[in-house]
Amino acid sequence: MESVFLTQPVITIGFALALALLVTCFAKRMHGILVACAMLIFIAVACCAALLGATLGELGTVTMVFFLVSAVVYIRRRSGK
Amino acid sequence: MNFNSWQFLIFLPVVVGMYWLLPHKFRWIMLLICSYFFYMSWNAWLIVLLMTTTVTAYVASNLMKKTQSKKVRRALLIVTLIICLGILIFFKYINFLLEAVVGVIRLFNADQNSIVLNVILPVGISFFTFQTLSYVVDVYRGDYEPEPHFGYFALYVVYFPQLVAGPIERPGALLPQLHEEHTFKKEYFTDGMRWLISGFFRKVVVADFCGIFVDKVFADLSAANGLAVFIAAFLFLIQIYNDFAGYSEIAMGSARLMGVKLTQNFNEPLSSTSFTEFFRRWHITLNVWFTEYVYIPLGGNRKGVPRKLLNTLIVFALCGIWHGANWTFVLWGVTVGVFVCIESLIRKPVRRACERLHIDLHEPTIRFLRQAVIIFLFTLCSVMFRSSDIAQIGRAYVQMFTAWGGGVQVFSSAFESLGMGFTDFLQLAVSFVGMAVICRLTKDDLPQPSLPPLRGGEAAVKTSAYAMAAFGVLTIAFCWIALLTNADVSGFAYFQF
Repeated sequence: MESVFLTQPVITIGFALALALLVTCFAKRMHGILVACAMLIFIAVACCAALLGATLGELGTVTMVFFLVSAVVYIRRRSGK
Repeated sequence: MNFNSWQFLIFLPVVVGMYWLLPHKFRWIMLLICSYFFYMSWNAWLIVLLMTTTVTAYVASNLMKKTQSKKVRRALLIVTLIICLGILIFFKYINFLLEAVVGVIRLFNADQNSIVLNVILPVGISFFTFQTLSYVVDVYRGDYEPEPHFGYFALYVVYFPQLVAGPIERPGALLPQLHEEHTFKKEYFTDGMRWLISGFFRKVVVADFCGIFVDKVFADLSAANGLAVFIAAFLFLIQIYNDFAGYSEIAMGSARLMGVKLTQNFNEPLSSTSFTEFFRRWHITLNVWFTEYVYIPLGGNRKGVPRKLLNTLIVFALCGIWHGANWTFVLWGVTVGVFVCIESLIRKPVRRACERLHIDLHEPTIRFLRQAVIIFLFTLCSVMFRSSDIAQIGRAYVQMFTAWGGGVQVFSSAFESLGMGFTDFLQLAVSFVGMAVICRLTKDDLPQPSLPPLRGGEAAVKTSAYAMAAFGVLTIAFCWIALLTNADVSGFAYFQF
């Protein structure tokens, strides 16, 4: 079965938007509300993806990317950068 | 009750909640009861073994304090060793020993039947036995005063975060912390959650996922080509590292939520540039235990080179057999022991040669090459650790070194044997990156920001922390449920030791 990320471009675009917003919020040190918005967009897109047939493994992989971005930012901020 | 079970996800917050609500003088009672409950969730009767070990060590150590006679103290130590090691040897190695004896008898009488006793393997027996023995030996040597309070001593033996798979804590490291009156600090929660997220990430996202492909190849080695067996062996090295490191980090996180700092058991072993360095970074508390209580008493490196090499081989052979009652583990132990010995013999000549040739062994490219060689050799050794018997080791190596036919098809054939699709490969690649990030996340030397808080500075750290925690929990949840639905969730591998 083909991945939903290939057959439904709106899902890929949705995740890319959420990631772009998250990265921008971290880079510009924007208010936490905007980070929360990025997370809400992520959750909404993840729900759509799940309904359209994305496997838990695929969702786990995408979520991992968001987790890694947040973790790298946290490590750099804790190091004073 | 495995750490990666819903029961533990309920158990831990309840215990931590009760810990902070109770006054200090009642905390040890609650922790002791909960720890026994935790252990009895596997098999209630196992508590008898645990109590036997606990009572023996407690009585012997306190009797040692009361007597000045060296003979009596030595006798008490020997009796404790016999009882504690006797329990360990009986429950873990009796069938292995009987099989060896039957094998010898069969040389003279081919009709000899196998003798197998129906003995259960108590969870964590190796760990709590070694921890108890380290206490008794430290008391015997006069390095530690015996604990007079039976309740606190029993808690030291049975403390649930580290009971079934370590870290093996020396009495001086854990007992004072159990006695200490902890007042809640925010850092206990943040540090604890950091270790817990890291531990569950390693176990659920990395280890269990790698295990899917490893099991597929080792289930039918004859169907896998050389590349598939090599990749499976490498993934097994990653699996066992993250499985065990993940457990240790969950243990550290659970204890940290209650203000207790356990000893770190892994320190980025895959970045090692030598076998010796690897074993200083891998299962640190076990290697310290063997060094302190076996290698040094045997003479260490103080009695000449041949004796040092022999002592090293003995320690590694024992380390191998400690992991399991199987000749595969003995073979693994002896093999890595031989590598360590070879390394100790060639270290100085290699260093002198490099100095003459102006080769800097710490230069990044050379360092990377050294790491690659160590990972390659450990990947080869991991076949012995994974295999169920000597015959399977042989089959694995034969496939690994001979089954390379098919030209460029070797890659597609390998991935087919592994059962790995493109999405799986992507998930694996991302999880490997995650593994590297996780190592940095849990480095205890993360410095506190030294600059005065800028506008939004502290808040920015908090925002990224909350985002990281939320996405981390979601990642673990998705991968966990995915494994559950595929019935691929496994217990922690080191529980069997």
